[in-house]
Amino acid sequence: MKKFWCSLLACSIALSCALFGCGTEQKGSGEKPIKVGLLYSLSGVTSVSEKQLYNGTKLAIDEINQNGGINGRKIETVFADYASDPARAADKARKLILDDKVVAIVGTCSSSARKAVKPVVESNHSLLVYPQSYEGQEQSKNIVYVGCIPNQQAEVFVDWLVKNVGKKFFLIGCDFVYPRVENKLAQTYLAKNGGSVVGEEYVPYGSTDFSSVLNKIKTSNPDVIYTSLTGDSNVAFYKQYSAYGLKATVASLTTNETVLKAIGPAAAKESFICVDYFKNIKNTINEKFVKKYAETIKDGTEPSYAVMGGYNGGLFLGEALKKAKNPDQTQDVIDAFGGLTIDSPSGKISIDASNHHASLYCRIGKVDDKGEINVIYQSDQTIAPKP
Amino acid sequence: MDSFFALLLNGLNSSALILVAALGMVVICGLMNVINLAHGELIMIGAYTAFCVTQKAGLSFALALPAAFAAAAAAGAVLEILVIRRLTGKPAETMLATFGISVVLQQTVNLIFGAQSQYVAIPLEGNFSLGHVVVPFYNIFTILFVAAVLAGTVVFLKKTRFGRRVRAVTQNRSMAECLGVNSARVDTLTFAFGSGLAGLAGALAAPVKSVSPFMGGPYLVYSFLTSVVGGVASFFGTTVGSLLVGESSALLGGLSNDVIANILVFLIIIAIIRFKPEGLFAKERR
Repeated sequence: MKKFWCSLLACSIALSCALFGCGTEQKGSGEKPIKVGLLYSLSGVTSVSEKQLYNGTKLAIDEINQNGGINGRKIETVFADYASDPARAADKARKLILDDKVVAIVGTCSSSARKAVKPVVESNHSLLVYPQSYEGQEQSKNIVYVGCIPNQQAEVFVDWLVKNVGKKFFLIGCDFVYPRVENKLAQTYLAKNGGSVVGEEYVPYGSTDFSSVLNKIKTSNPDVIYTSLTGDSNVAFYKQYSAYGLKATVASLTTNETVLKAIGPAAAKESFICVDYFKNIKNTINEKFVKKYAETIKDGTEPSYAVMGGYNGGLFLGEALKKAKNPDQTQDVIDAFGGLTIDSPSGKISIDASNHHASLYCRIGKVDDKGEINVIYQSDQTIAPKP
Repeated sequence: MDSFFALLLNGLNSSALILVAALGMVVICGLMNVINLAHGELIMIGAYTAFCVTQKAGLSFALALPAAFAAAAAAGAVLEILVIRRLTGKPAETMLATFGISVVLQQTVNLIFGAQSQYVAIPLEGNFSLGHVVVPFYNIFTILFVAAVLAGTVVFLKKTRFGRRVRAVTQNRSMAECLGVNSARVDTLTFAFGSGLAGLAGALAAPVKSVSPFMGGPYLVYSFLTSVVGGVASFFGTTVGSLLVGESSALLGGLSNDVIANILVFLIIIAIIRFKPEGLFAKERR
């Protein structure tokens, strides 16, 4: 028996040597692929958003590889699933950097996961490309932030709502950092442009019962219900809002095309959403992208700002790798990010050299009675990030 | 005064949803002494059945309710035969196994349907106003429907032949077996019935809540609390328990906010369990 195991071991070593040998020879130039880590949760509570981020990043990297890779070298992705657990995100990031020796990581979704990974990439001199919109107020030389931040989203949105919908705002959100910061900022914006806050409510994370909140909204009679609810709470809120037949207009910072399918057109019609990207943007790059997404990704998700965050993150990283003096040196890649510009489905966007956040367009969409988001406002040019 | 009335009515609606979720728990936990941590996922199965029936097959919501009961009951029967039955008398192992099953069910649904929420249309649009108070028609429907389910369950267990067998097996298993009751079959059917009630809760919640693979967690917590507060084997107790949990969340949420209400409700429950560990309406056990 022992002899059998020995021979099996010998065979497998021989086989793997042979395979490895062939693998490197076939590349022709003899160069090994560039390793990039993807750190997303495909299970757990934040997996709804992260599946979309993941789809976006994967599409971007596949595209780069099909178009000749990074100066002839392919990008090889190493995927790690942290199951929506920030502590595990930090562990997996450490593993990606130290064991898999990736040059950069694209990933994480919630601010708590990013904040858990931040010290890991900083102490190991690695790089995290963060694809999600977030509340701002953070900078790190080891993180590039690709999603929109309040001065590119909320500030424009509040201003637009006061001018076009009404002055009285009711603020709601789940009880964690992001909605609290967004609502605090909304109050400062409202104080500047003559609006007022008639109510502010938080529900426990994941709560799906809005009866008391909806009655408070009814009593305070606002023009705008300004929400940054996420996940199951977001879907349940729209549906109960429509069942209670309230008049105020819903304005959301977090709803997207995928969530909208679950809410349904009856509950979401006439509401507003403000983000940097919508599926229905009219330009040739986006039309191609939407078509490709429908053909390749068949998991029920739609192209959304989350998908686009992941996609832009992948594209930016690809460009930075191309521009870097040595794409295997993380520091060179980080240096290459400053001022980088890409032609993305969301427009010609770039990375600000001073704070490593993206300059993005701001768009406002209105949901019609078929559940489609029509873009009714777009900033004239990209808005520079002020984290 | 108006807003107080509104809060009470809203509370009644939340109570109704909690009650129907907890009824299944009472049947399974109270009658069979099984702590089923996959209860939330049986509710999820009911909600997804409602989604498939109304959206995929395009049928009416009236059909979704019995379909959800049947689907969850079938899942429950399989669960009982494959797992629960083999762990009789081992509460810790049963809890671990059902917890494992809950994760398996979540991820299976995640793989089939994706992690995103699914859409179920509200079958009864519209609402009516009493002064300042808005009451959606669907809430009234939920309250009436749950009252009927509660009455049906009680009659089923107290008056029918099968119900008498269930109670005989719970009270004295070996004696019931001696008298010719097939206790294994009774166990399976009881578990299936409790699971079916959970499925019904899922279908009822689907139009106004979110249908997603991870929706079960909060329902598990609430139905567990409700049945513990009420006394695990008492339907009357569970009804009072669900009213207590639903109304106190709605009233406290209305007077302060939902986050504080959440904390206070749990504190109240802890206090009740401290002073009445058997629950408010515990039955004498022989």
